[in-house]
Amino acid sequence: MTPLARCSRLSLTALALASSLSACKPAEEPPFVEEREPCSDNNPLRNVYFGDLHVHTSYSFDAYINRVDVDPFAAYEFAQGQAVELPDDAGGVRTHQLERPLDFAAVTDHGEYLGEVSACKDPDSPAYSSDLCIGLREGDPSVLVQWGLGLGAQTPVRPKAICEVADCPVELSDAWVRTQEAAEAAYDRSAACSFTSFVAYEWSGAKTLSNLHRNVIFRSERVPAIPATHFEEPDYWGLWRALDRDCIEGLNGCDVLAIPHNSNWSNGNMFVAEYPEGDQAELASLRARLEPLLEVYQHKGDSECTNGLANPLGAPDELCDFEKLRTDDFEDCGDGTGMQGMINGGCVSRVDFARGILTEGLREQARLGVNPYKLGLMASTDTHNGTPGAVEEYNYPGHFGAAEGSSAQRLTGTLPGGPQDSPGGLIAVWAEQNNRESIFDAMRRRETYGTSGPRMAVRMFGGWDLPSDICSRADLVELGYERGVPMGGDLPAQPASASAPGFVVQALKDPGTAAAPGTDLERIQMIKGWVDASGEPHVEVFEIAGGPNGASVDISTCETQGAGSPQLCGYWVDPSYDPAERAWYYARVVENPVCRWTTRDCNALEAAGEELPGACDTAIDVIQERAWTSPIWN
Amino acid sequence: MSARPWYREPLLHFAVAGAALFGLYEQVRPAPAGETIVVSADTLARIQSQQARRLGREPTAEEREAAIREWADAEMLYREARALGLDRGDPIVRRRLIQKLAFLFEEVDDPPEPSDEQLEQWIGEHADRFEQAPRFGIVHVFVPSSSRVVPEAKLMELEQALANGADPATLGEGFALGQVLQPKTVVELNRSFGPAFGDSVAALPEVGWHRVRSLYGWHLVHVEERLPGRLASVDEVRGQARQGLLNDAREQARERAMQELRDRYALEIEGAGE
Repeated sequence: MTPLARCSRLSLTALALASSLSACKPAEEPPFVEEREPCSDNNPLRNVYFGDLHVHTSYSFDAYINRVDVDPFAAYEFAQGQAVELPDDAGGVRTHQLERPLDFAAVTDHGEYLGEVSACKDPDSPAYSSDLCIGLREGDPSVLVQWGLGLGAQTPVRPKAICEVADCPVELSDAWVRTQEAAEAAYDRSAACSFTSFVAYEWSGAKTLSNLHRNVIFRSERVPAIPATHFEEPDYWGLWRALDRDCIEGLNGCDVLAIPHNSNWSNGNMFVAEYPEGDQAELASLRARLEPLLEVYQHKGDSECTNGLANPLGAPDELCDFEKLRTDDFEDCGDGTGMQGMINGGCVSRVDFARGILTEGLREQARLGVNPYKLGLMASTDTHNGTPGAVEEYNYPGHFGAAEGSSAQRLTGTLPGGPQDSPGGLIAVWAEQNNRESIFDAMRRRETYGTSGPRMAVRMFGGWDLPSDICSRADLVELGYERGVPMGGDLPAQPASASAPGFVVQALKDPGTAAAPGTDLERIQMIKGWVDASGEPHVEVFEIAGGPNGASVDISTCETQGAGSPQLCGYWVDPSYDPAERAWYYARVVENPVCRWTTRDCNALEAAGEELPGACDTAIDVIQERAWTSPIWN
Repeated sequence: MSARPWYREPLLHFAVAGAALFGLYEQVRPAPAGETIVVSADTLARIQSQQARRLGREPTAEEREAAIREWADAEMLYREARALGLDRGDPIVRRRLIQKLAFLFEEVDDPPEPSDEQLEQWIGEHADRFEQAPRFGIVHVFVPSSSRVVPEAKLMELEQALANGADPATLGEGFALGQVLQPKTVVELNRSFGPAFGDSVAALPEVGWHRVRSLYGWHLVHVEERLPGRLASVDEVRGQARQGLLNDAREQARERAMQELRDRYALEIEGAGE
């Protein structure tokens, strides 16, 4: 990289410079303290904050090629309630705006091609007139394919047509600095603490087109000089080592975590229990340290659970038939792996879904003494429109810019799933303050949950001596922390006086807005996973509050009928607790049904007297939005 | 690799861009034959640390040697290119140089650290950015009720207990967001409890416990703290105000320098005025 000799005006560049020097002698620097005012709202019992940590903007090659012009600065402004213009299907624009701002967000553009895209946009760059750049600017689908395939290569190389004429390392560094500046501009460092941004990017490796993507989220403005992408680190072990070396160990004030997403597209490759050469227990702890969370839901569907595998880990669960990207008859990977998941090909594995991954983690823990898959749950959008938090079924702007600029396009699209795509979800965290440190630490300790869009408040505690009437105790939250652990935690050792662990889950429905009220809740379930004495994994679903209530939705008007509950609370003791078995427990909170976005788009087409695409007959009409808490482990 | 003209080598572009940053005000002269390239201690340290970062370990003696040679080759190319004037008319070099000089202009007179008085004044001048809405800190006793039914008996019982001085922590049911809420704005309260809840809280009298309906049921609310709307204090927005003020000062410094430049140059537009 070309260090800027003097450049104090660009504080971020100066910091990057200072930090790369400090890498040589970190001991001389005093511990990093974030420069900011303390938040006026600082709640030791923690507030819930909603965010989106998976956002692509015009800096991502696959967004830009679909005429998305929303850059990271505009994306953060959108998260705070400003409108953006998105391309429509006719060469014009449409505006989009959130009903409610988010509390936090991270722009996670593909680290790969960050510099190349920048060079292609710059008329002064010698790469500007290359065919590849022209194709990118003109939205040539074959260029998208070409760039995409580059990320599936075993030994990836940067596109020669661009990097032999343009200075790709400098372009990358500049784009990375702008990414940091956008995060800085959006971050409210005053006592109002109205919005938190994170410096972040996506590592987009996808060996043999099995998805292995990770979002890399930094705790502070201290970040490595360039993002470690698929080009620098072609496999995820290399990514974690690079983050450990260049950030956690090598850079004072730098801390980082990586969030894997779309395990549902990985053909078993993302969580296959295989290790490179080395001490497996050490490697497993490196993994666990860098990856405390799993993105369980986003535009490309649900990764919680699936029916249809030979070993479904328990009785079929009809609520698992939810927002599935793959609807073909797939083959079961068994204990093996496949390829081409990203084009909906190859086999599907039990470790493509949270339940299988979490139980596999217990098995690895028994084998190695370390659980490499100790994953809390979260959700986000993966928007490629630069629209963090645009998760409403009634106002879905599509996934991919101009390619999904109208109802008809969204219903007939194929990228990545067309009518199977979802508007994506949100991450909720329980944190003392709305700032980077507080939210990052909540993610580290996994006090997070994901939702498929709604902003329900969900609290869970587990412990050995929670009172059984805890739901009707005003000090529920105080008791939860005093006598138990919150979501994401480990139960303490079993005291002699206790026979089984108890859990309390309370959910408040999404309040919505006056214009768009939230939906009532249907039920709360507890999902338990465990591994028996012979090493066999099991999963069981328990109903702990509410239940089927007969509520429905009229799909021709999208009006809901019948009531659910504005809030639910359940206390549950594990009826089949066996002290010899390791287990995890997470809660699923399910809303009453509403119209899916496809139904809204089909109704709109029908009202306009237009022809209805086939998806209007085949797509699922309704959706039961939900939340998934991080597990508590025992 | 086939006949690419040597002046299109990316390495050359890289060195030129790098050189533009380092050698801004250094000598410009044609390189005489047999000129010496000195690898200074600083350069050596930089080469080594970059290599160590790339490799994830200290380089071996051979690797170090190779890196130094690579650097020296680039330096030679750079000097020759400069001597040939290849940096002239290159848009990348032009942009880097402009950027660099703009930074220098801003640093010419580094603005002094602003005083609290200056910060306060600056906040006042940017009141739209620093106005804070009123905030309300509340304690509430929660009674769930799913319909429009008012659980009258229960509410009266709780009101009686509160009037008799009972500890609110022992009254009502659990609420996920907690029983004591730090000061929040009307908008924030509406966002957590449902539309109109915050407006109702804002209208409550100073003392006593009052019934407020939310989406989730009934709450007996006591307003613990009432923070009026006001301009933020220096301590609440110090960083933002300081940054804003310094940015203004730098912007002014750059504009002054630019103005001096404009005074020194004459502008002639060919064909203009004909």
